Amino acid sequence: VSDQDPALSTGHAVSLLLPWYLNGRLSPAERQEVDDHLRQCPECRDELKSLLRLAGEMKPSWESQPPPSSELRIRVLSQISKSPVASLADAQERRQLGRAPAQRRRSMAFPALAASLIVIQFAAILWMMRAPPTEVISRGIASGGTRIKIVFQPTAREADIRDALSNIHARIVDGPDAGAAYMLQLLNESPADTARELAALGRRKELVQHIELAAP
Amino acid sequence: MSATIYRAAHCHGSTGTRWMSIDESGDTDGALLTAVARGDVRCFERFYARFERRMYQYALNFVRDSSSAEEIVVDSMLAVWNGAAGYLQTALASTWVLGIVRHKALDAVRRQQRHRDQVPLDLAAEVSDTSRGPYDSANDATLGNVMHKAMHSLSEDHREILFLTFYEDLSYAEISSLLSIPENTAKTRAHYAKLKLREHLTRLEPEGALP
Repeated sequence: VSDQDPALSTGHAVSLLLPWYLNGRLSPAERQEVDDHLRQCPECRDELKSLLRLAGEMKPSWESQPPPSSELRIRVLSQISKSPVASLADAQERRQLGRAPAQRRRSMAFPALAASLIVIQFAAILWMMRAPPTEVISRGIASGGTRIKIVFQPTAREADIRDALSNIHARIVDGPDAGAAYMLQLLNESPADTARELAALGRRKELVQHIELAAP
Repeated sequence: MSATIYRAAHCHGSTGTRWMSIDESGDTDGALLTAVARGDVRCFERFYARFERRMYQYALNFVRDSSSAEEIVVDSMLAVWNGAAGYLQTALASTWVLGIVRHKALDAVRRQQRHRDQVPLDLAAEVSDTSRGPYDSANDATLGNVMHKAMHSLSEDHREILFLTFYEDLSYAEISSLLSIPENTAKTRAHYAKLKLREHLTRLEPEGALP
Protein backbone atom coordinates (compact mmCIF):
# COMPACT_ATOMS: atom_id res chain seq x y z
CA VAL A 1 0.00 0.00 0.00
CA SER A 2 1.39 3.36 -0.93
CA ASP A 3 0.26 6.94 -1.42
CA GLN A 4 0.62 6.37 -5.17
CA ASP A 5 -1.70 3.42 -5.08
CA PRO A 6 -5.02 4.51 -3.60
CA ALA A 7 -6.86 1.53 -5.02
CA LEU A 8 -5.15 -0.78 -2.57
CA SER A 9 -5.51 1.46 0.46
CA THR A 10 -8.24 1.18 3.04
CA GLY A 11 -11.44 2.78 1.92
CA HIS A 12 -10.61 2.64 -1.81
CA ALA A 13 -10.56 -1.10 -2.34
CA VAL A 14 -13.82 -0.84 -4.22
CA SER A 15 -11.97 1.00 -6.98
CA LEU A 16 -10.41 -2.35 -7.92
CA LEU A 17 -13.81 -3.05 -9.43
CA LEU A 18 -13.67 -0.03 -11.74
CA PRO A 19 -12.54 -2.00 -14.83
CA TRP A 20 -15.65 -4.16 -14.55
CA TYR A 21 -17.80 -1.18 -13.62
CA LEU A 22 -16.78 0.15 -17.03
CA ASN A 23 -17.33 -3.06 -19.00
CA GLY A 24 -20.71 -3.61 -17.34
CA ARG A 25 -19.88 -6.97 -15.79
CA LEU A 26 -20.52 -6.25 -12.11
CA SER A 27 -23.45 -7.64 -10.21
CA PRO A 28 -26.16 -5.09 -9.32
CA ALA A 29 -24.99 -5.15 -5.68
CA GLU A 30 -21.37 -4.51 -6.64
CA ARG A 31 -22.39 -1.78 -9.02
CA GLN A 32 -24.38 -0.10 -6.27
CA GLU A 33 -21.37 -0.36 -3.98
CA VAL A 34 -19.16 1.35 -6.54
CA ASP A 35 -21.79 4.03 -7.19
CA ASP A 36 -22.03 4.77 -3.47
CA HIS A 37 -18.26 5.04 -3.18
CA LEU A 38 -17.89 7.25 -6.24
CA ARG A 39 -20.44 9.71 -4.87
CA GLN A 40 -18.23 10.52 -1.91
CA CYS A 41 -14.71 9.94 -3.35
CA PRO A 42 -13.31 12.49 -5.81
CA GLU A 43 -10.08 10.47 -6.19
CA CYS A 44 -11.93 7.43 -7.46
CA ARG A 45 -14.09 9.59 -9.72
CA ASP A 46 -10.90 10.93 -11.30
CA GLU A 47 -9.59 7.39 -11.57
CA LEU A 48 -12.77 6.32 -13.32
CA LYS A 49 -12.48 9.16 -15.84
CA SER A 50 -8.85 8.28 -16.47
CA LEU A 51 -9.65 4.59 -16.88
CA LEU A 52 -12.48 5.42 -19.26
CA ARG A 53 -10.05 7.32 -21.50
CA LEU A 54 -7.49 4.52 -21.27
CA ALA A 55 -10.06 1.89 -22.24
CA GLY A 56 -11.21 4.10 -25.09
CA GLU A 57 -7.67 4.13 -26.49
CA MET A 58 -7.00 0.43 -25.96
CA LYS A 59 -9.94 -0.87 -27.97
CA PRO A 60 -8.94 0.81 -31.25
CA SER A 61 -5.42 -0.46 -30.66
CA TRP A 62 -6.69 -4.05 -30.79
CA GLU A 63 -9.25 -3.49 -33.48
CA SER A 64 -6.80 -1.78 -35.82
CA GLN A 65 -4.50 -4.79 -35.94
CA PRO A 66 -4.45 -6.56 -39.31
CA PRO A 67 -7.04 -9.36 -39.48
CA PRO A 68 -6.03 -12.96 -40.09
CA SER A 69 -5.47 -13.96 -43.70
CA SER A 70 -8.45 -14.88 -45.84
CA GLU A 71 -6.97 -18.36 -46.35
CA LEU A 72 -7.32 -19.17 -42.66
CA ARG A 73 -11.02 -20.01 -42.95
CA ILE A 74 -10.39 -22.27 -45.92
CA ARG A 75 -7.60 -24.06 -44.06
CA VAL A 76 -9.79 -24.72 -41.06
CA LEU A 77 -12.85 -25.80 -43.03
CA SER A 78 -10.71 -28.02 -45.22
CA GLN A 79 -9.36 -29.83 -42.20
CA ILE A 80 -12.82 -30.07 -40.68
CA SER A 81 -14.17 -31.64 -43.84
CA LYS A 82 -11.54 -34.35 -43.61
CA SER A 83 -12.76 -35.52 -40.23
CA PRO A 84 -16.54 -35.18 -40.19
CA VAL A 85 -17.23 -38.85 -39.73
CA ALA A 86 -15.46 -39.07 -36.41
CA SER A 87 -17.76 -36.47 -34.95
CA LEU A 88 -20.84 -38.13 -36.30
CA ALA A 89 -19.73 -41.54 -35.16
CA ASP A 90 -18.97 -40.21 -31.72
CA ALA A 91 -22.29 -38.43 -31.51
CA GLN A 92 -24.11 -41.58 -32.55
CA GLU A 93 -22.16 -43.61 -30.05
CA ARG A 94 -22.99 -41.15 -27.28
CA ARG A 95 -26.67 -41.35 -28.12
CA GLN A 96 -26.60 -45.13 -28.18
CA LEU A 97 -24.70 -45.54 -24.96
CA GLY A 98 -26.24 -42.59 -23.13
CA ARG A 99 -22.88 -41.24 -22.09
CA ALA A 100 -22.34 -37.75 -20.78
CA PRO A 101 -20.85 -35.47 -23.48
CA ALA A 102 -17.51 -35.16 -21.72
CA GLN A 103 -17.08 -38.91 -21.76
CA ARG A 104 -16.85 -39.29 -25.53
CA ARG A 105 -14.42 -41.75 -27.03
CA ARG A 106 -13.89 -43.33 -30.39
CA SER A 107 -16.34 -45.92 -31.57
CA MET A 108 -15.08 -49.30 -32.62
CA ALA A 109 -17.36 -48.97 -35.63
CA PHE A 110 -15.58 -45.85 -36.82
CA PRO A 111 -12.66 -47.49 -38.68
CA ALA A 112 -15.02 -49.62 -40.74
CA LEU A 113 -17.25 -46.65 -41.54
CA ALA A 114 -14.27 -44.50 -42.45
CA ALA A 115 -12.88 -47.22 -44.70
CA SER A 116 -16.22 -47.52 -46.45
CA LEU A 117 -16.32 -43.80 -47.07
CA ILE A 118 -12.79 -43.78 -48.45
CA VAL A 119 -13.78 -46.49 -50.93
CA ILE A 120 -16.87 -44.52 -51.93
CA GLN A 121 -14.85 -41.31 -52.32
CA PHE A 122 -12.24 -43.09 -54.42
CA ALA A 123 -14.90 -44.54 -56.67
CA ALA A 124 -16.47 -41.12 -57.06
CA ILE A 125 -13.16 -39.57 -58.04
CA LEU A 126 -12.46 -42.26 -60.60
CA TRP A 127 -15.91 -41.75 -62.02
CA MET A 128 -15.37 -37.98 -62.08
CA MET A 129 -12.07 -38.29 -63.93
CA ARG A 130 -13.23 -40.63 -66.67
CA ALA A 131 -13.17 -39.56 -70.32
CA PRO A 132 -15.96 -37.13 -71.24
CA PRO A 133 -18.92 -38.52 -73.16
CA THR A 134 -20.44 -36.53 -75.97
CA GLU A 135 -23.30 -35.11 -73.99
CA VAL A 136 -24.25 -34.23 -70.46
CA ILE A 137 -25.63 -37.09 -68.43
CA SER A 138 -28.08 -36.36 -65.66
CA ARG A 139 -27.31 -38.25 -62.49
CA GLY A 140 -30.65 -37.81 -60.90
CA ILE A 141 -29.44 -35.88 -57.89
CA ALA A 142 -31.99 -33.55 -56.39
CA SER A 143 -31.68 -29.94 -57.51
CA GLY A 144 -31.31 -26.92 -55.24
CA GLY A 145 -28.53 -24.61 -54.08
CA THR A 146 -26.14 -22.59 -56.19
CA ARG A 147 -24.84 -24.35 -59.31
CA ILE A 148 -21.61 -23.64 -61.06
CA LYS A 149 -20.13 -24.93 -64.28
CA ILE A 150 -16.47 -25.79 -64.10
CA VAL A 151 -13.80 -27.16 -66.40
CA PHE A 152 -10.74 -28.54 -64.69
CA GLN A 153 -7.30 -28.37 -66.21
CA PRO A 154 -6.42 -31.64 -67.97
CA THR A 155 -3.30 -31.76 -65.84
CA ALA A 156 -5.16 -31.30 -62.55
CA ARG A 157 -4.50 -34.02 -60.01
CA GLU A 158 -7.29 -36.05 -58.49
CA ALA A 159 -6.29 -35.17 -54.97
CA ASP A 160 -6.33 -31.45 -55.76
CA ILE A 161 -9.77 -31.67 -57.32
CA ARG A 162 -11.03 -33.60 -54.33
CA ASP A 163 -9.65 -31.00 -51.94
CA ALA A 164 -11.04 -28.14 -53.99
CA LEU A 165 -14.53 -29.61 -54.02
CA SER A 166 -14.31 -30.29 -50.33
CA ASN A 167 -13.17 -26.74 -49.61
CA ILE A 168 -16.12 -25.15 -51.33
CA HIS A 169 -18.59 -27.73 -50.02
CA ALA A 170 -19.61 -28.77 -53.49
CA ARG A 171 -20.69 -31.95 -55.15
CA ILE A 172 -20.88 -32.93 -58.80
CA VAL A 173 -24.46 -33.21 -60.04
CA ASP A 174 -23.89 -33.38 -63.81
CA GLY A 175 -21.25 -33.80 -66.48
CA PRO A 176 -18.85 -33.98 -67.98
CA ASP A 177 -20.43 -32.52 -71.12
CA ALA A 178 -18.85 -32.34 -74.56
CA GLY A 179 -16.62 -29.54 -73.36
CA ALA A 180 -15.47 -31.56 -70.33
CA ALA A 181 -17.49 -29.25 -68.07
CA TYR A 182 -18.96 -30.50 -64.81
CA MET A 183 -21.95 -29.07 -63.04
CA LEU A 184 -21.37 -28.54 -59.32
CA GLN A 185 -23.91 -27.87 -56.65
CA LEU A 186 -22.71 -25.65 -53.81
CA LEU A 187 -24.10 -26.56 -50.46
CA ASN A 188 -23.17 -23.30 -48.81
CA GLU A 189 -26.27 -21.12 -48.68
CA SER A 190 -24.52 -17.87 -47.81
CA PRO A 191 -24.16 -15.70 -50.95
CA ALA A 192 -21.12 -13.95 -49.50
CA ASP A 193 -19.40 -17.24 -48.71
CA THR A 194 -20.33 -18.63 -52.10
CA ALA A 195 -18.87 -15.63 -53.93
CA ARG A 196 -15.69 -15.79 -51.88
CA GLU A 197 -15.26 -19.51 -52.44
CA LEU A 198 -15.86 -19.18 -56.17
CA ALA A 199 -13.35 -16.37 -56.43
CA ALA A 200 -10.78 -18.41 -54.52
CA LEU A 201 -11.34 -21.41 -56.75
CA GLY A 202 -11.16 -19.29 -59.90
CA ARG A 203 -7.73 -18.06 -58.91
CA ARG A 204 -6.38 -21.59 -58.90
CA LYS A 205 -5.26 -21.54 -62.54
CA GLU A 206 -3.29 -24.74 -62.13
CA LEU A 207 -6.55 -26.51 -61.33
CA VAL A 208 -9.37 -24.65 -63.02
CA GLN A 209 -9.59 -23.85 -66.70
CA HIS A 210 -13.00 -22.21 -66.62
CA ILE A 211 -15.62 -21.49 -63.98
CA GLU A 212 -18.95 -19.72 -64.15
CA LEU A 213 -22.23 -19.48 -62.32
CA ALA A 214 -24.84 -21.65 -63.97
CA ALA A 215 -28.36 -20.50 -64.58
CA PRO A 216 -30.64 -21.61 -61.75
CA MET B 1 -17.47 -36.34 -48.79
CA SER B 2 -20.42 -37.22 -46.64
CA ALA B 3 -23.71 -35.65 -47.59
CA THR B 4 -24.96 -36.22 -44.06
CA ILE B 5 -22.76 -33.54 -42.61
CA TYR B 6 -24.33 -30.92 -44.84
CA ARG B 7 -27.82 -31.47 -43.57
CA ALA B 8 -29.93 -28.43 -42.79
CA ALA B 9 -28.69 -26.65 -39.72
CA HIS B 10 -30.77 -26.52 -36.60
CA CYS B 11 -28.69 -24.74 -34.06
CA HIS B 12 -31.60 -23.61 -31.93
CA GLY B 13 -32.20 -25.27 -28.62
CA SER B 14 -30.41 -23.22 -26.02
CA THR B 15 -31.39 -19.91 -24.55
CA GLY B 16 -30.08 -18.01 -21.63
CA THR B 17 -29.34 -14.64 -20.17
CA ARG B 18 -25.59 -14.94 -19.73
CA TRP B 19 -23.05 -12.80 -21.52
CA MET B 20 -23.04 -14.23 -25.01
CA SER B 21 -23.09 -13.32 -28.64
CA ILE B 22 -26.18 -13.87 -30.71
CA ASP B 23 -26.33 -13.24 -34.44
CA GLU B 24 -29.34 -12.62 -36.65
CA SER B 25 -30.25 -16.30 -36.40
CA GLY B 26 -30.89 -15.91 -32.68
CA ASP B 27 -28.58 -18.77 -31.79
CA THR B 28 -26.38 -18.39 -28.75
CA ASP B 29 -22.75 -19.47 -28.73
CA GLY B 30 -23.78 -22.40 -26.57
CA ALA B 31 -26.46 -23.48 -29.02
CA LEU B 32 -23.94 -23.39 -31.84
CA LEU B 33 -21.49 -25.50 -29.85
CA THR B 34 -24.21 -28.02 -29.11
CA ALA B 35 -24.94 -28.29 -32.83
CA VAL B 36 -21.21 -28.53 -33.61
CA ALA B 37 -21.00 -31.43 -31.18
CA ARG B 38 -23.53 -33.21 -33.41
CA GLY B 39 -21.17 -32.71 -36.37
CA ASP B 40 -23.15 -29.86 -37.93
CA VAL B 41 -20.79 -28.16 -40.39
CA ARG B 42 -23.03 -25.17 -41.10
CA CYS B 43 -23.25 -24.32 -37.43
CA PHE B 44 -19.51 -24.74 -37.17
CA GLU B 45 -19.08 -22.19 -39.98
CA ARG B 46 -21.26 -19.75 -38.09
CA PHE B 47 -19.31 -20.43 -34.94
CA TYR B 48 -16.13 -19.82 -36.95
CA ALA B 49 -17.40 -16.48 -38.23
CA ARG B 50 -18.12 -15.35 -34.68
CA PHE B 51 -14.88 -16.47 -33.12
CA GLU B 52 -12.15 -16.30 -35.76
CA ARG B 53 -11.13 -12.73 -35.05
CA ARG B 54 -11.51 -13.10 -31.29
CA MET B 55 -9.36 -16.22 -31.20
CA TYR B 56 -6.76 -14.58 -33.41
CA GLN B 57 -6.64 -11.44 -31.29
CA TYR B 58 -6.30 -13.47 -28.12
CA ALA B 59 -3.54 -15.59 -29.63
CA LEU B 60 -1.59 -12.42 -30.44
CA ASN B 61 -1.29 -11.79 -26.72
CA PHE B 62 0.99 -14.82 -26.56
CA VAL B 63 2.84 -14.91 -29.88
CA ARG B 64 4.12 -11.96 -31.83
CA ASP B 65 3.80 -13.10 -35.43
CA SER B 66 0.57 -13.48 -37.35
CA SER B 67 1.44 -16.90 -38.78
CA SER B 68 1.90 -18.38 -35.31
CA ALA B 69 -1.37 -16.78 -34.21
CA GLU B 70 -3.11 -18.33 -37.22
CA GLU B 71 -1.67 -21.74 -36.36
CA ILE B 72 -3.13 -21.37 -32.89
CA VAL B 73 -6.52 -20.52 -34.40
CA VAL B 74 -6.38 -23.61 -36.63
CA ASP B 75 -5.46 -25.85 -33.70
CA SER B 76 -8.13 -24.28 -31.53
CA MET B 77 -10.86 -24.52 -34.15
CA LEU B 78 -10.06 -28.20 -34.69
CA ALA B 79 -10.14 -28.72 -30.94
CA VAL B 80 -13.58 -27.11 -30.85
CA TRP B 81 -14.78 -29.30 -33.72
CA ASN B 82 -13.52 -32.47 -32.10
CA GLY B 83 -14.27 -31.50 -28.52
CA ALA B 84 -17.51 -29.52 -28.65
CA ALA B 85 -19.25 -32.42 -26.98
CA GLY B 86 -17.13 -31.67 -23.94
CA TYR B 87 -18.63 -28.23 -23.61
CA LEU B 88 -20.94 -28.06 -20.62
CA GLN B 89 -23.85 -25.66 -20.81
CA THR B 90 -23.12 -24.54 -17.27
CA ALA B 91 -20.04 -22.69 -18.50
CA LEU B 92 -19.98 -19.58 -20.64
CA ALA B 93 -19.22 -20.67 -24.19
CA SER B 94 -16.80 -17.84 -24.93
CA THR B 95 -14.82 -18.59 -21.77
CA TRP B 96 -14.64 -22.25 -22.77
CA VAL B 97 -13.44 -21.32 -26.24
CA LEU B 98 -10.89 -18.80 -24.97
CA GLY B 99 -9.61 -21.46 -22.59
CA ILE B 100 -8.87 -23.69 -25.58
CA VAL B 101 -7.06 -20.87 -27.36
CA ARG B 102 -5.05 -20.13 -24.25
CA HIS B 103 -4.05 -23.77 -23.89
CA LYS B 104 -2.99 -23.99 -27.54
CA ALA B 105 -1.17 -20.68 -27.34
CA LEU B 106 0.82 -21.71 -24.29
CA ASP B 107 1.74 -24.94 -26.10
CA ALA B 108 2.92 -22.88 -29.07
CA VAL B 109 4.97 -20.60 -26.83
CA ARG B 110 6.62 -23.62 -25.21
CA ARG B 111 7.43 -25.08 -28.64
CA GLN B 112 8.90 -21.79 -29.80
CA GLN B 113 10.92 -21.54 -26.61
CA ARG B 114 12.31 -25.04 -27.12
CA HIS B 115 13.14 -24.15 -30.72
CA ARG B 116 14.98 -21.00 -29.66
CA ASP B 117 16.88 -22.94 -27.01
CA GLN B 118 18.06 -25.38 -29.67
CA VAL B 119 19.25 -22.76 -32.16
CA PRO B 120 23.05 -22.51 -32.38
CA LEU B 121 24.44 -19.25 -31.06
CA ASP B 122 25.65 -18.09 -34.46
CA LEU B 123 22.06 -18.23 -35.75
CA ALA B 124 20.45 -16.67 -32.70
CA ALA B 125 20.51 -13.16 -34.12
CA GLU B 126 18.67 -14.32 -37.24
CA VAL B 127 16.03 -16.07 -35.17
CA SER B 128 15.38 -13.00 -33.07
CA ASP B 129 14.87 -10.98 -36.25
CA THR B 130 11.88 -13.14 -37.17
CA SER B 131 9.93 -12.12 -34.11
CA ARG B 132 8.45 -9.03 -35.67
CA GLY B 133 4.71 -9.17 -35.78
CA PRO B 134 1.49 -7.23 -36.07
CA TYR B 135 2.36 -4.93 -33.22
CA ASP B 136 5.58 -3.97 -34.98
CA SER B 137 3.85 -3.55 -38.31
CA ALA B 138 1.29 -1.34 -36.69
CA ASN B 139 4.08 0.69 -35.15
CA ASP B 140 5.78 1.10 -38.47
CA ALA B 141 2.54 2.20 -40.05
CA THR B 142 1.46 4.57 -37.31
CA LEU B 143 4.48 5.83 -35.53
CA GLY B 144 2.38 8.34 -33.63
CA ASN B 145 0.31 5.64 -32.03
CA VAL B 146 2.08 5.11 -28.77
CA MET B 147 -0.67 2.85 -27.46
CA HIS B 148 0.56 -0.03 -29.64
CA LYS B 149 4.05 0.36 -28.28
CA ALA B 150 2.87 0.73 -24.72
CA MET B 151 0.69 -2.39 -24.97
CA HIS B 152 3.55 -4.33 -26.44
CA SER B 153 5.81 -3.22 -23.61
CA LEU B 154 3.53 -4.85 -21.07
CA SER B 155 4.18 -8.30 -19.69
CA GLU B 156 2.15 -11.13 -21.20
CA ASP B 157 0.05 -11.39 -18.02
CA HIS B 158 -0.77 -7.70 -17.99
CA ARG B 159 -1.52 -7.53 -21.71
CA GLU B 160 -3.76 -10.57 -21.40
CA ILE B 161 -5.85 -9.33 -18.49
CA LEU B 162 -6.42 -5.96 -20.13
CA PHE B 163 -7.49 -7.77 -23.29
CA LEU B 164 -9.89 -10.04 -21.44
CA THR B 165 -11.36 -7.14 -19.48
CA PHE B 166 -11.61 -4.41 -22.09
CA TYR B 167 -11.78 -6.33 -25.38
CA GLU B 168 -13.58 -9.52 -24.38
CA ASP B 169 -15.57 -7.77 -21.62
CA LEU B 170 -15.24 -10.78 -19.32
CA SER B 171 -16.18 -10.46 -15.65
CA TYR B 172 -13.45 -10.87 -13.05
CA ALA B 173 -15.03 -14.20 -12.06
CA GLU B 174 -14.77 -15.46 -15.65
CA ILE B 175 -11.18 -14.25 -15.88
CA SER B 176 -10.41 -15.96 -12.60
CA SER B 177 -11.81 -19.20 -13.98
CA LEU B 178 -10.07 -18.88 -17.34
CA LEU B 179 -6.66 -18.10 -15.88
CA SER B 180 -7.08 -20.38 -12.86
CA ILE B 181 -6.28 -17.58 -10.45
CA PRO B 182 -8.20 -16.28 -7.41
CA GLU B 183 -10.69 -13.50 -8.10
CA ASN B 184 -8.72 -11.04 -5.96
CA THR B 185 -5.62 -11.80 -8.02
CA ALA B 186 -7.57 -11.00 -11.17
CA LYS B 187 -8.59 -7.65 -9.68
CA THR B 188 -5.13 -6.65 -8.52
CA ARG B 189 -3.53 -7.90 -11.74
CA ALA B 190 -5.83 -5.68 -13.77
CA HIS B 191 -5.01 -2.80 -11.45
CA TYR B 192 -1.24 -3.21 -11.86
CA ALA B 193 -1.60 -3.76 -15.59
CA LYS B 194 -3.38 -0.44 -15.82
CA LEU B 195 -0.63 1.30 -13.80
CA LYS B 196 2.09 -0.25 -15.98
CA LEU B 197 0.31 0.79 -19.13
CA ARG B 198 0.13 4.37 -17.91
CA GLU B 199 3.81 4.18 -17.00
CA HIS B 200 4.75 3.05 -20.51
CA LEU B 201 2.51 5.67 -22.09
CA THR B 202 4.17 8.38 -20.00
CA ARG B 203 7.60 7.12 -20.97
CA LEU B 204 6.76 6.96 -24.64
CA GLU B 205 4.96 10.26 -24.83
CA PRO B 206 5.94 12.30 -21.77
CA GLU B 207 4.58 15.59 -22.98
CA GLY B 208 1.23 14.22 -24.20
CA ALA B 209 -2.06 14.38 -22.40
CA LEU B 210 -2.31 10.82 -21.21
CA PRO B 211 -5.15 9.00 -19.52
